[in-house]
Amino acid sequence: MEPNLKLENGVLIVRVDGDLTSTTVLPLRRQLDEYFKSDHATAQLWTICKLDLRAARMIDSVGLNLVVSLLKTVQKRGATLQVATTDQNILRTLAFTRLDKQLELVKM
Amino acid sequence: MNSNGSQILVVEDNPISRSLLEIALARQGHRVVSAEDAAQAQAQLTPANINSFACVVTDYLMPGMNGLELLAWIRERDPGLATILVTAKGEKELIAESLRGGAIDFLDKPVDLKKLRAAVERAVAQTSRHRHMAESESAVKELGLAQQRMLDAETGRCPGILQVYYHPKHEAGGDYFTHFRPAPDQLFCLLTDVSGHDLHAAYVSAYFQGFVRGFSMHGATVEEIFRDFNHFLLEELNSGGGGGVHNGLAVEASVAACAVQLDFRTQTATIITQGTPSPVYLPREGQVQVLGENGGVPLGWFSTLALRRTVQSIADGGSFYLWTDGFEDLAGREGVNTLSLAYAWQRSKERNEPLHCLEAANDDVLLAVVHLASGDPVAKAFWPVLSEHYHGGQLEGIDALQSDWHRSLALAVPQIPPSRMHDILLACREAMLNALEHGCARRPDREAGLMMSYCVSRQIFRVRVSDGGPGHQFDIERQEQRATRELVDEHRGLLLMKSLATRLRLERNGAEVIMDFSITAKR
Repeated sequence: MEPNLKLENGVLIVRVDGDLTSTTVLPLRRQLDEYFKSDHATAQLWTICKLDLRAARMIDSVGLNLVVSLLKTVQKRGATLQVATTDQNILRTLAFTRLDKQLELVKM
Repeated sequence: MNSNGSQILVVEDNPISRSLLEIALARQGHRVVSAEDAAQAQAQLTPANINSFACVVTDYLMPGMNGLELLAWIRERDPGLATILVTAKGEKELIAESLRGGAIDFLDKPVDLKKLRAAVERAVAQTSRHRHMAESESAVKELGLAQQRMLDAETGRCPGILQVYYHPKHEAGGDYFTHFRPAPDQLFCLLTDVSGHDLHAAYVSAYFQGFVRGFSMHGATVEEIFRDFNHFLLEELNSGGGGGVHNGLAVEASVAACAVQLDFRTQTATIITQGTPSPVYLPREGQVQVLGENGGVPLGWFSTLALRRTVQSIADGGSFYLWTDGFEDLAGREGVNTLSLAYAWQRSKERNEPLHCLEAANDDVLLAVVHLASGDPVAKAFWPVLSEHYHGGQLEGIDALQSDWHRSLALAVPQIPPSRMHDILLACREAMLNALEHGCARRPDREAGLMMSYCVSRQIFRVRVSDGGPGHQFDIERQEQRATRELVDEHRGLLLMKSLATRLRLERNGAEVIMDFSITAKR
């Protein structure tokens, strides 16, 4: 598994270590791309993907693009994308872009 | 130092000991006044008299107040008056306490007269030194206050048009600003920064102000005045007794100066900058402009002086900022934009609140603001609080740029709530990413501009990001409607900006983005 990804009790957890922005997205995108292309992704049975944004205080359009990509990939598998955050600015950004309607907001 | 002839107060209850001390000190040439106890001593040391004494020699053990208590009483009234305590032999604790209490010396009983004379000589010299220093400090403070009063008067002579803000490193310094009217339709502004932060700098600065004013009022041009003063500095102040700058030796004084001549008939400003930062013009509409080239050499360095004049139209009635290098240094140390620091200083002075970051300055700091239109443009108009240009190669450094904006805005407009600050920074980041990525195509030879301004009366914050690219034809309303139905992949940044800002306006096909943020609106 990639360093920011782990499978726990049937949930794929994607951990983000800080803000999700143009300068931080690339390594995480690579990890996700590699995972979803790998045999693990096909073999592993999970129905929930949880994006852990608890360490993030800002998410910009490039970060949102990653969330949308992940959401589409997860939906294709018939699974659900959950986003874990309590940061009010992140929640507002997700609401502005109506992504809050497409994914589940949860506390970790 | 010869201490003979000073007035000494001897405080001793034992008449024989007192006489011995009196005789010994009188033989040394001093005038001696005696007291039998602390009460008598206090009667001698009245506010009117205390300055006439150069030293007090007091016994420790006396009826009533003891010597240490008298010492404390004296220090409260004149900390510069040196006191010698006479103690019984071996009273080490007492000696330590007396030194902590401010006595400069102590003598064991029976008093060795040779030691007494030496101790008194030291005490008299110390009193003299302390009093001289106190007088000097007082004179410097007075000079500093005079400078401040004169700068305030500059503002007072042109209320609503001119404001001067000054924070000297020490009590007095070499930065100065003055203005005068050579003719009814002209205004001459002069910013000066003399090397050093001391009395010498203040003196040279004052001399230069008078020099410029006198010659200018008699029709000399700025170029003539600057050349004459350069010559004066080189030949008379910096010649170093035949050496001076000509031989590459020390330069005693150099004067950085910026002259702005406003001609309201021709609607022009003529600027000559020698060694100071260039003035900044804030038009009522449009981009902030730095006028002329920064720098040029100060007066007093070289005999040849390359004077460059810049002419600026002032027809739109904007405002000027003039500041010294200490101001720019301070902005750099604080990691904030110069316009943010200027705005913060203006607002803090209006509110009569201290601007704490000034304490971090390691140079004299002076800022002058000249408004060409009457009224209060700072309060009514969108007043620039940040202006920067970035090149396409800076895209990867967007996080650092965002941190700079954050620090600058927090200083300039501290009333922005944290959530609104987030929105402004995020929207600005989006606009700048777009400008550097697409408008500048990441190329280091292409630039994008950022200007932030604030209208305090409407509590609206404005961000303007522009680039020289062609922009992109784009129907934002349609895209926004589409985004409500499906997961769109493109133009998310623009949609985000539209959501975050109170109002978004696109000019030149989106090559210029203008976003307004209400600071008070609940979201």
